[in-house]
Amino acid sequence: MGDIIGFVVAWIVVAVLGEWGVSVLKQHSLYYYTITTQGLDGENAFGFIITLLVPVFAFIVVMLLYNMIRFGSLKLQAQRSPKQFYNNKVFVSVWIVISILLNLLFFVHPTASAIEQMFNSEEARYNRHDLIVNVTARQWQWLFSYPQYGITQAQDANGNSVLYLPNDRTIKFVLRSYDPFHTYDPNAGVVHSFWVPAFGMKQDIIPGETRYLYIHTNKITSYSVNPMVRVQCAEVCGPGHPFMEAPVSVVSNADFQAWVAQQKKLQS
Amino acid sequence: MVEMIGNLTPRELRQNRFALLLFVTSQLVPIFVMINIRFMLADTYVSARVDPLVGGLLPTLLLLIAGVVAWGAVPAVKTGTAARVKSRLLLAGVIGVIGFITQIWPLFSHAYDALSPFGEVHLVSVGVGGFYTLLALIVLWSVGVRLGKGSPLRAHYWGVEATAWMFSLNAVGWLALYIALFWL
Amino acid sequence: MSSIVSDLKGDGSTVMSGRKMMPPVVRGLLWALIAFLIFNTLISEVFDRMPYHPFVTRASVTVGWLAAVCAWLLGVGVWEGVVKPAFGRETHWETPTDWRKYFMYSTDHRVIGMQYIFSSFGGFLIAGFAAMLMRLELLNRNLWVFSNPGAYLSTVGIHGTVMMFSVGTVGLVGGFGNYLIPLMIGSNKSAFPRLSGISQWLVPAGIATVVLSPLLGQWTTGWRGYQPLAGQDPAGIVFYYLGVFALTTSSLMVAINLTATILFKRAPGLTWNRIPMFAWGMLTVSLLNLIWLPEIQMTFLLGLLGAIIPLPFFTQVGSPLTYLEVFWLFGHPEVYIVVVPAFALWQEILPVMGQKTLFARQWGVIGLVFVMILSGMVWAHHMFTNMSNGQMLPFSFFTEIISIPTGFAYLVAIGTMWRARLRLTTPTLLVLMSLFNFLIGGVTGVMLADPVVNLQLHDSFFVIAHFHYTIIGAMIFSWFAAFYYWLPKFSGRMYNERVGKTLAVWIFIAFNAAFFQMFLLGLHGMNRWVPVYPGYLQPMNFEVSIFAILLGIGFVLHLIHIAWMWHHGPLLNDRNPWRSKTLEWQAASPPGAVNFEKIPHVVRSFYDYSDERMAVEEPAGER
Repeated sequence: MGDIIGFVVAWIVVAVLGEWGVSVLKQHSLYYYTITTQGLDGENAFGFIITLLVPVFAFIVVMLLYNMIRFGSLKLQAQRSPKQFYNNKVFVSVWIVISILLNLLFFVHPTASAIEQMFNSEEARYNRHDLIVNVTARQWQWLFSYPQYGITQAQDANGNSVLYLPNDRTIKFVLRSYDPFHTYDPNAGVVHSFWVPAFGMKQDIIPGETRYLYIHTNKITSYSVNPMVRVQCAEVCGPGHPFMEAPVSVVSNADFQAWVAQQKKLQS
Repeated sequence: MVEMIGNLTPRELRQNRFALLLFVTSQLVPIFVMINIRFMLADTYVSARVDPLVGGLLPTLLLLIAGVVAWGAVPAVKTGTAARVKSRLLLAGVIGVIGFITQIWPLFSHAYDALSPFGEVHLVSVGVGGFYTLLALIVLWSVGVRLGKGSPLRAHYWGVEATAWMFSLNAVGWLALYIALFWL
Repeated sequence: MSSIVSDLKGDGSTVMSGRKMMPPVVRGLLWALIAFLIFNTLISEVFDRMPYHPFVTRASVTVGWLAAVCAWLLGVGVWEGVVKPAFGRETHWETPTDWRKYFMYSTDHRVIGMQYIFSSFGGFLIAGFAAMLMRLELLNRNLWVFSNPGAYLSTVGIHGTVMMFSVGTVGLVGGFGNYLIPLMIGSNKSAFPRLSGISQWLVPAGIATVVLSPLLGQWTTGWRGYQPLAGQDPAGIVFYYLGVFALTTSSLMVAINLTATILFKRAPGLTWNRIPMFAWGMLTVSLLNLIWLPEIQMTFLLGLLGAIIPLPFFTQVGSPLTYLEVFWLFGHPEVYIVVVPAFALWQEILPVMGQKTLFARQWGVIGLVFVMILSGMVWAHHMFTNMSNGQMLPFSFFTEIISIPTGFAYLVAIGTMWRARLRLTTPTLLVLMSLFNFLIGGVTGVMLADPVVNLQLHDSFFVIAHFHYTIIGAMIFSWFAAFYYWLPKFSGRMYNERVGKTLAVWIFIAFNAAFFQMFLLGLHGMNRWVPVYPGYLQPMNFEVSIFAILLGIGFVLHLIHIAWMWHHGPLLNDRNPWRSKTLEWQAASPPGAVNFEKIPHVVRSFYDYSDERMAVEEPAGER
């Protein structure tokens, strides 16, 4: 009985300390830097799972340490353990019931609920005024075009692709993998993955398919503010894979309009 | 003392039978893959140049017949009629070889141009089926050669039974591929 | 095919004679070279001449390779040991008793086990060296070790492929399984000695093929060989397919042999209820191997045909997703093939070290079996970023559910240690560390199973950290635990406890310091497969690289320690230094000419330490 009490006390202390640590981390953002509502949904799910798993993690770790310190012996001689038992129905039953309940809980929330939440922006009623950005992944470059504004290829003064987004807007990325510059086979393409780490999500781009990614921006920021605000390919796509990057800027609506005008001038 | 079957105890015979069936069953997985990827690939198109009777039905029937004939040799080992064992195995081998040739013949009727993506599933299925038929024929060949070396007939009981298993399971696997290719 | 030929004369059919012959390995290499030259030339110069007639084409190298591997197998002794007897011919084959027996085809399960252990350790060192090169490259944010990203990516591919198919799948199964399973179930041989004699020699061939792949050109896909990228690469991918083919064929043969051995070679009294935990692990792993290895072989065959004929299966005929589906259909069971033997080892070592009855043994077995079953239902969690939302839920569900049977391994381990008198030996420490590491791997696995979290963490360094925690953290640590635990069995000598523990702590610290920071790197936006990355990630990558190199040194020091003690350690005065009740310790250490002079008779459980009685009936006259 004494061992059980000692273990439980140690477990509770460690679990409480762990929860305190997690709450501090949560205030500092678990994803480091998030600039979309979808990303925040993901971060909340992540935080929820961690919060629930801390006691589980603490249980096993404290158990391993407790066993090692309390029951461990540095002597090499074999000595039969005084206590011997084959089973403990109460312990096993509680263990199994808790692990089943925990998994069912995780499936209901955050798995099913957060998917619902994260993707409800795909519902038609939410995206009537979405900004559409066509994303074309070629080997090895990102190309962004804004069909609503007639911008065929957004680029900076040096001709590098850039992604400009207005703040507080739902943006619909239309993702395709092909090579418009290929001389005889524009459909040659490989799997890429469109990832802006600060978005908190990514989507693979499959040649021959058109896929969509919806985000809602919620912070004015740019690559120079935080390097996580960049597009990069997350799926290996050949030797040029590490260089498949583009800076992202999220700007106010007025600045976005100014940028659109400047792009149009550049284009003509 | 347990009764020996050839030079194997009944337990060893069961062990060999189990392992061979395990092997053959696991080798049915590739055939299963070939049947199922048709849902994801561009279906099981078979080139119009392949006669569905000569290139499809005939090898299927021949392999099934060869399997049945090979099983005919198994009880003959037990009763000790060497002539019957040899004739059955020879017949199974001849039918098997003809089956093998008709089975892989469509490989040579395929147009290997880089442009057409049609008929590839058929082609690979033929290759896979042909590979296992070849394997079964090699097993039959080795058993046949050993039979000719003059050691007592009952020593070859397991070899003959293994040949029969190989032939019949290969025939079943190819039958499944044939149905998937020509009927589904 | 041993099953078919074994009826001929039995294992002793090879006739001893004093005839001199070339060392088998040298002969195998020579035959392989000749066969390659003949068949490669036939294809590239006669049957399939290409424009500008290059001497080595993709088609010719494939046929040449097949011929070379067959010739290699024949040369190391399969010709005399299997092929000639299969056709009823007499053979002359001399088996030496000294070290040379390890360098030729053998039918002794202990020799084969040792050969597998050497082979997989060789693979571990080669692939580990590749990992060191990768970490050295990542020490700096620019290209400085490799001259181009393709070279880095080829190294990543070689590292992953060799580690997965020649270490993860082979180390504990082909190596320890072949050596120990017959000993543990009270048999003097495995069910199909010739089959496993052949299978071992495919491992060095497979490793060499993958390692030599840059000769044919870079391949940038990593160990997964993703289409359509694989179809774009230069020809190096051909040797990836072929090497994996050799290695998976080897594992397939091991699986058949071990399954039949466990089912048919058990000693009298060793009922299903008494099957050792490690044997249960081998049984579940073998069934996984038997189902999923032929599946991936077929997939890679399609990929290979796409590269050499070409038959564009995954680009023109189907979709790139076809490849992803069929690859991960195998890919996830593969990681359980790697880790299930580790679970079994925990349950093997802990009761012995604690001299305490294994807790809730039936739940341990249920856990292993259900992990095996569920592992076939989770594959698409590797593909959340490229499937539609509705499809994610079932895979997410099964992925979360698989943590329940996995947890049973912990249930058993914890219950066994509770109130035991746990000897803190090196194997115990390594098992405890393995439990800790796999816990982190499992907890992060629950996070990754959640689709919305997965969308952020997928293909980032978070995933790299996660699967290295499960594979190095659990399997490699348990592998070293097994080395220390069974070293007295293999060699009859004991290792140095202080050195062993110091090195165990060393690799534990280096491993956790290196890989835990990779979680943070992933969260901070570090993507995979990049030799060049943004500058803000450099400081942490620098630390990771330093600890990773320390980890590599730690593994090598372990190896040196084990190898040294194998020959110079203090001799045992007891065949059973750990006071284990399992059967392998009832044989001599190291075992004599045969494992058991008299086949033991099992009368009670191996894991019941409630009294001093052994699990076997003492044969009359001994003692």
